[in-house]
Amino acid sequence: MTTLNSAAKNTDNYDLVPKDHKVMVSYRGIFKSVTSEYLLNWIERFYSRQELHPNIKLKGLFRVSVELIQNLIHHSKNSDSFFFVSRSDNGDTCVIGTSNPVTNDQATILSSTLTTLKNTSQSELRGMKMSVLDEGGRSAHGGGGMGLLDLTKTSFGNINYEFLPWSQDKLLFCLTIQLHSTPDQHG
Amino acid sequence: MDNIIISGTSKTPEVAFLTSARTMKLSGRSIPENSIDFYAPLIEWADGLCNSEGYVEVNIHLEYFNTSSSKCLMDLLKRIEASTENASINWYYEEDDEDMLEAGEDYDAIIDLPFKLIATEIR
Repeated sequence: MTTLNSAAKNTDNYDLVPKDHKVMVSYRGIFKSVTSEYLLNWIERFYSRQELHPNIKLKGLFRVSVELIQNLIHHSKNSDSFFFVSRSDNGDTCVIGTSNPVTNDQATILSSTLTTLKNTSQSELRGMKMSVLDEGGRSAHGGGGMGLLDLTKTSFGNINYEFLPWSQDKLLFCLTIQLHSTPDQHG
Repeated sequence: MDNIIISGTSKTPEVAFLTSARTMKLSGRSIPENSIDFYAPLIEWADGLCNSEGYVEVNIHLEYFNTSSSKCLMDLLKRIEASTENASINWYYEEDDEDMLEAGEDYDAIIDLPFKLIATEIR
């Protein structure tokens, strides 16, 4: 029987994880406040046990994870939402990623925003951030569309995304952020 | 006005807003899912204090904060700026934390009050 989610059955969330990486933390399901607390605790505990390059700091990892997890809490109520943190064998790269179904309209907006941000320099991103801080509006939960801006800046533009087929009216939005030991290295 | 003293949690900062000392201190992490809920009463309190006579000191010693907290912090500082010229802000950051230093510089550039960036030892 063909269902609306037939495309989804062919999508393995772990395809987002780079082939040479080990998964440190992953979760698939509905994201709530308690999920966030649990995942962030795990990230802190695992970080201290990983031999990562000293330039990959817990604060950076934590900062990216917080924004990504809170994006899912605010914008995705789908039980197929996914989050992971992985590391390269030699410990010089971490990837933090999420996937969640979005509507075609949301995909268009996300794609346009991310394309613009990826083509913006670090100093311009800082200027944009200050401008949003100073003048921008805000959403119901307090943000002002700063999440993707901050993620792009924190990762030095090492932010990648794609939309995979999901159902008749939705696409699977896959977003990955790479933190490198040499931050301006593009992956 | 009563003091506001709130213990820090894994998601919200420790708060010490003291009426008689005329000081406000935020320390720890600020990553609540809904920052407005957390910061609205603090902003209202700050408004009350800054509209009374006397010097006000604000100490921000955050380890990190999410983007929605960054907007609320800006609201707090702007409210203070709008209410009094007799206030100063101390922004503490760990000496290797370039992100927190840069964040402090950004607030300093926007807020027209005496603003000190103070490096602390790495904990």
